[in-house]
Amino acid sequence: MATTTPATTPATVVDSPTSTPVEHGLSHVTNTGISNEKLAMWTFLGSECLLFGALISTYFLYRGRSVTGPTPKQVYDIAYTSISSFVLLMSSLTMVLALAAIQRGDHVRLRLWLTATALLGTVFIGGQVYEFTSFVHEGLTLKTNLFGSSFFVLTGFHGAHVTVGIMMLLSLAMMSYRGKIPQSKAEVIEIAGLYWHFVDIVWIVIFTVVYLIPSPHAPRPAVPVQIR
Amino acid sequence: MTDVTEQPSQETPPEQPSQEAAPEQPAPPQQPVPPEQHPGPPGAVGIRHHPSDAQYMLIALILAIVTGVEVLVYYIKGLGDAGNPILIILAATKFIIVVSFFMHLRFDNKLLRRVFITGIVLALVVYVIVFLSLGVFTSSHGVHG
Repeated sequence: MATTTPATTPATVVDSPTSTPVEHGLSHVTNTGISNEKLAMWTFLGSECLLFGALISTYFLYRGRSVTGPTPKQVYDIAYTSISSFVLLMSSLTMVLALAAIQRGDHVRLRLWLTATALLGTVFIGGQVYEFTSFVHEGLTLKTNLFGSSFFVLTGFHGAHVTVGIMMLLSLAMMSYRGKIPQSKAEVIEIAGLYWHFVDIVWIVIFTVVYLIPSPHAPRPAVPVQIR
Repeated sequence: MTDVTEQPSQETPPEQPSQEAAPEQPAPPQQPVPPEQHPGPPGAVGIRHHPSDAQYMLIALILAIVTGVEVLVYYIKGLGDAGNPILIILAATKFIIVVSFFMHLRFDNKLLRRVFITGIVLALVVYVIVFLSLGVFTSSHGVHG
C-alpha cells in the first residue's frame, strides 16, 4: 500500500525513493539530484558567458582600429598585470580551501580562507584602480578612442563582478562568525565559490586576449593622414 | 506514514513457521553517506570525491606555472605569430583546470556540465557568426574611431 506524505516542498520538487534531503545536505530533494540554488547559479554563469562573450568580442572587433592614441602597447604594463592575474588566480585556491574547510566542519579555517579570498580580491581591484588611473594620466579615457571604450567597459564590468564577489565573501565570513553557516549549509559556500571561480576564468581569457595577444594590425598614426 | 505489515499467505504450509512468528532481525545501522559519495536519485550520475587540500595546492602551482609560461611566451619576440596559438592553448588549459577542479565540474552532476558548456558554445557560435558577418577574419571592416 502506498502512502503519501503531505507536501511541504514546492511543486517542482519530487520525492525520490533513494535519497533524502538530509543525506544530500540539501534543503529539499529534486529530481535532478542537484539543488535548485546550485542549478540556478550554473545557469546564471552560463548566461554570463554570453555577457562577457559580447564584451570580449567587442574589444576584439575594435582591436587595432583606433585612429588616435594611446595604443595598447603604449599603456600596458604586462609585468604589473601578470602579478594582478597571479593574485586573482591564487584567490581561487583560497576560495576552494574555504569550501573544503566547511565540508570538514572547520569553521575557523573557513573564516580564514574566506577573508583571505576577499583580501586577494581587494588587492586585485586595487591594482585595477591603479592601472585605470595611470591610463587616464597617459591620456586614455573611455571617450579617447575605440580601444579606450572597449577596454574600460570590458575590464570595468569584470572589476564590478569582482567587487560584488568581495562583498559576498565578506558577508559570508560575517555570517560564519555569527554561527549562521553550519556544516550542513556548505553548499552556500560552494555556490559563492562558483561565482568567484567564474570571475577568475573570465580574467584568464581577458588576460590572454586583451593583454598578451598583440594587435594584428599595424598601429595607426595618432593624427590621420590627409589624402590629397 | 504508516507501516504496512504483510499478511501471511493462506497457501503457506502449516509446517513452515509463520512470517509473523519469525524473530525480526534488527536493521543494520545506516552509515551517513558523505554528499560526495551519495549515488543520488535515479538518473543522477554518481558523484566522485573532491581533491584534498594538498591536491588543490598542487593544482594552483600548475596554474601559476602556466601563467608564468604565458608571460614568458609574450616576452619571447622570436616566436612572432606562432606565439598567439600557444597563448590561446595555455589560457584554455588554465580555464579547463579551474572549471574542472576548482568548480568541481569534473566531479559533479553531468547536467551542470551541459548547462555551462551550452552557455560557452552558444557564446562562441554567436560571436563567431558576428565576426564572420562583419568580415573580421577576411578584410578590414572599416570601423575606426
